Amino acid sequence: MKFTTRQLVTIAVFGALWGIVEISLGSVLHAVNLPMSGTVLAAIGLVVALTGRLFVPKRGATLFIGVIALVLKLFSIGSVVIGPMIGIFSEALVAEVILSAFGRPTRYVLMLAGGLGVLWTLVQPFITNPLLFGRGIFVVWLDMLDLGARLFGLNPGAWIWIASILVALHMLIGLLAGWLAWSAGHLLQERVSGSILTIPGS
Amino acid sequence: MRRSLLILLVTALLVAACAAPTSAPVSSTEGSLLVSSGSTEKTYSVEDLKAMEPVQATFRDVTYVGVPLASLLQDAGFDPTAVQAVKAVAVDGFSANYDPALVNKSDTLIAYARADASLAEDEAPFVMVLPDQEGKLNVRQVTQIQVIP
Repeated sequence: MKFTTRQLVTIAVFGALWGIVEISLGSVLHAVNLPMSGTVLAAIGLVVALTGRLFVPKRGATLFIGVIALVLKLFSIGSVVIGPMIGIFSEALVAEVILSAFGRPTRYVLMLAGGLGVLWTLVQPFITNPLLFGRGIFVVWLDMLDLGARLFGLNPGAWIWIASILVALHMLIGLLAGWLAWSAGHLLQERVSGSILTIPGS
Repeated sequence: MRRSLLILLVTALLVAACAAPTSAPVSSTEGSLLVSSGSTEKTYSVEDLKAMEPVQATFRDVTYVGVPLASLLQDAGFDPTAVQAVKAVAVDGFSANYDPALVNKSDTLIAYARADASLAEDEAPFVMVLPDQEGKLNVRQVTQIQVIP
């Protein structure tokens, strides 16, 4: 996992972009109490990180982008940032594992990485809430059902439907994020051709 | 490019759909609190709670007067130590779920007044008060307490 100076600069740029999105949009979404704001932020962040991966297709690049974003998140306005920081790191790690497992990034690999990365936002509360806030898993499950019931107008008792729709929705948003990252990466490549930003092998 | 824009539009629509939650208003008699599980239920007014032993708790520098949630559950016929969880539901359908540990804390209140005044308009008729807990657990305008046995 050795990076050239150019690759490190590229990683820093994309990490900073993700971090800025988290700091600015994250604070706004938190303030307006938007449902699934973590999912929205994860999707946007992963578009940035996966686009960055296209320019630095090396193991660890996506994780490093996430680490830079989470360091920037420390400067976020507001009091509680440990949850989002764990979220950023976990999403980057999930995407990194998928990308590393498949080797060279393709559109479909990026979509899978995006899908599973965004899906992580649904799983994360079951781990962080008990560990950080002492809340039980059953209560986190009830919170998830309440969110689904409010979003989809379903009875909280229809837990199979709510859970299935939430999983499908998160996967879909993540798949779209991966799709967009591939397109955005190649569009960026066209726009800045001749500069330092090039997708290796394209 | 056009395809990317289309996908972006679909994503934005999905996000917009998520941003407009359907809040199901909870039907209730004005100023009343329904404590219920699937089989048992009991309705309380502000006066009913005032008749119980008052306890004070402070959240974000505001001191509230109310009844411990565990005492209320006991009065309604539930064993607060045996519940799996308790849900407080607001008039607009917003809800928060509480662990047995939180339910049985002595300073977890269902408040009907502030120490020096009545509840604010956006708090009445009842507000959950959980000192040291995050804001979303301190549900305002509570109309229902649902017990999950």
